[in-house]
Amino acid sequence: MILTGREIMNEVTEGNITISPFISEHVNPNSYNYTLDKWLKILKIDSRGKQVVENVEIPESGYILKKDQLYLGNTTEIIGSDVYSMRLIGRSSIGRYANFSRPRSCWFLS
Amino acid sequence: MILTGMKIAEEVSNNKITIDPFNKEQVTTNTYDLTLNESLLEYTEDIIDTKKENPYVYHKIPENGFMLKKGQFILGCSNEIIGSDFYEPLIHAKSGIARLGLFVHVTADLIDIGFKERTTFQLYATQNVKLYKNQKIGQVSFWQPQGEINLYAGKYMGADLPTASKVHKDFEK
Repeated sequence: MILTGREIMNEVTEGNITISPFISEHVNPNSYNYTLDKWLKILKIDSRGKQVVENVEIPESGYILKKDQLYLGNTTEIIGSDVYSMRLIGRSSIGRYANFSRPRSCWFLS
Repeated sequence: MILTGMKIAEEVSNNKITIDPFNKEQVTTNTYDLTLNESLLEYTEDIIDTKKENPYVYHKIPENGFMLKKGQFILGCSNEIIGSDFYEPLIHAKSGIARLGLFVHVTADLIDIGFKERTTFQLYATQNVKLYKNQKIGQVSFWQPQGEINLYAGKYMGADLPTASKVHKDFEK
């Protein structure tokens, strides 16, 4: 069973789903569009073979992701539910550019 | 709740699911097999700017196949027009295709309820893979929705070829 967009909206109102901030224009027929926050984490191996994390703030002019590099980002929205299991999906418009929004761990269990 | 193959076939007869052309042999236990159309779309710029419309070219898969190179990304589409006003479709690879290291979608497998078109595949090869037109490449499952339905009327309506990203339209709002 998948919730329709209307039902997601109802359950946000009921307090059974948290989406904050909640913008009704982000509701789709059967999902809610999340947006990219301004920070990225880049996992790198330094010259001594040690894993380091570089934090990058996305500038107004945008940030170019390099091919084959893994980046961690996060949503602007706080999303969760004690009642429903969530599944995180990329937007088809982003998938059409070969950008994996979630290479692993797509299920969040409440 | 996910529909069984038998239920998918039944709902196609009841006109509650669109699969066109529909071929009984493509019904699996709980999905319907999708075949690859001959048209492919490839972006031509090295850097993709998500704020802009990016140029692309169309290719046709020749009889002797199309080689998708390791790390190459291309859009394809199904021969079948699929969709439903009553169920939510999800796209998956055929396991035989996934076992070759070929992705048929990149992160976006959910189709909006009400969207009825040839579905675009986001083909990404982790090794050199040769593709042939009309081969079985993906599968679609149908899920029962919960709640009142608002049908899709978005920016990809009317697709009958692989359709390039229209994410730049999000910035125009």
